[in-house]
Amino acid sequence: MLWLGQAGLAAAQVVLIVHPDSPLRAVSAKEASDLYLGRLRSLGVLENPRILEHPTDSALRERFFRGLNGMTIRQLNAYWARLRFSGEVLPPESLPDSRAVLGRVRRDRNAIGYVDQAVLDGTVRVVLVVKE
Amino acid sequence: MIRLIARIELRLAAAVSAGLLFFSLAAGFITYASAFAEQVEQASELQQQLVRAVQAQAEVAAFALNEEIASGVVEGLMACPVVKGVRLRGGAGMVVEDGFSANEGAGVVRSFTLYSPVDRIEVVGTLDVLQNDAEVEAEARRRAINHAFIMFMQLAFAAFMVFSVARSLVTQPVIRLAEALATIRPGSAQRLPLERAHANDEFGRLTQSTNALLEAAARAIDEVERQRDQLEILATHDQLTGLPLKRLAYDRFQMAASHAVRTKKCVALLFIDLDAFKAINDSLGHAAGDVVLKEVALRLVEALRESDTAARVGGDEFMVILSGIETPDAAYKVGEKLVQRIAEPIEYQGQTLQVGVSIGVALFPEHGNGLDTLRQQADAAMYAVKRRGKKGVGLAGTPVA
Repeated sequence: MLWLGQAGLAAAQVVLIVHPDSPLRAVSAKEASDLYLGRLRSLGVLENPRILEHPTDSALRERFFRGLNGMTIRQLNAYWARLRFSGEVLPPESLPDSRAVLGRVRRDRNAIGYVDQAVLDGTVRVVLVVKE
Repeated sequence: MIRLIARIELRLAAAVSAGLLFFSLAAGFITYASAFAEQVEQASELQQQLVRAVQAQAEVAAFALNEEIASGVVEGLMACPVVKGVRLRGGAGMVVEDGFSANEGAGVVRSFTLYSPVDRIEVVGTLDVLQNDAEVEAEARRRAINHAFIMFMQLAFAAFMVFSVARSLVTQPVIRLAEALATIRPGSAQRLPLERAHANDEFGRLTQSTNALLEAAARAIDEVERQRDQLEILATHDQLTGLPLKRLAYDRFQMAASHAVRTKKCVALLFIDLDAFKAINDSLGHAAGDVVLKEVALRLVEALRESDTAARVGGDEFMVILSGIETPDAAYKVGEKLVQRIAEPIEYQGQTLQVGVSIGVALFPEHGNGLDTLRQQADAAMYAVKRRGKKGVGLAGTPVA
């Protein structure tokens, strides 16, 4: 927790957060990528997590995926366009900004979302700092 | 001859057909083989293009383990007639297929690796396409046969053109020449016509040299005929006097006799014997005798009509055939005229010779039908004159006056 905080001081990074009571301690970049691309339905101890997204054109979303798996927004959109075509998978629920995500995660034990490190206030657990 | 040339045309047709067969077989085989290979190659390319079109979709399906999308991909590929089966395998044992394992071994299988849409490095699955080899080959065969057929038609057209040109350029002129040549009689003035279209080519030369040959042949035949005529004259005429010999005289008599039968007239045969010819020969020599004989012959010819014949039938014997005679008296008168004419003096080396003749006359058909009989009669009449005193005319069957 300490080194995370220090890293946060160095530059405002994108972090993946969960409810403080979540059984989830840490998530790898690969797991996070698979989760956000609809490839994973569960994260071990966390079954059917409620995945929170940012608006399609959000700058934070671009930073998140660039750091996570190198995908651009265009690639992401194309990917989801194909996947949504099946009607079977729905893209994650989209919230307006980091504060909205933070607020939801704070209330929902099942939720997982990414936010700008700058909005963190100690009420949620950081499970992944996305390297940029 | 005509049949032989028709056979050349047949052989030309046969040779062209054989060439056509050989080349169309060779070309057809090559065309078929290359068209077949091309079609098989095209089928393979078509599948690769199809797979490329659905690859991104297939990768998403394999990546997100989405069977719905995978089915869409498989169905899309199956719509292509050259595809017999498709199998899409993703992670976590996901397999979506159609007609793949059921038709294993029915054709070539092409496998395409599916990469993660995220990094395009991680392998997330494979797409296997089973080619419908039977369909590909049937289509390839159809196209190949088409190509080979078109090739054959082109060759056949070319061969027909070659045949037609050769026929009109070579065979037909030869046939025309042969037909023209067949109608020409050797030695006649007929010549081959020089076709304007072939005036300056091989046929023109053939025509001209054949005409030259015909010309030479005609000249040779003329020469032979001339020589034959000459021989005939030599064989039938007396060399010294130029008068016909006995045999020709017989022929002339036969003609005169048959003419006389048609016109109901007579033919008179005058048998003439020189009086005392032997004496001239003996006293003055053969040269003098020959001069006398020639002069007698000349006077006979001069005294007679064109239609009469004077012939030398022995050493000093002549025979005259008078045609178209109406009465014995007319013949008798001609005999008398001949006696007078021949009795006129004959100049020989400054001397004056004189020769008398005794003439016996017999008439056809009055005294006989055959020349031999008539001659005997005339002969007898002539001898009667000789006995009587020579230099006179005696008519057969008439008592000595």
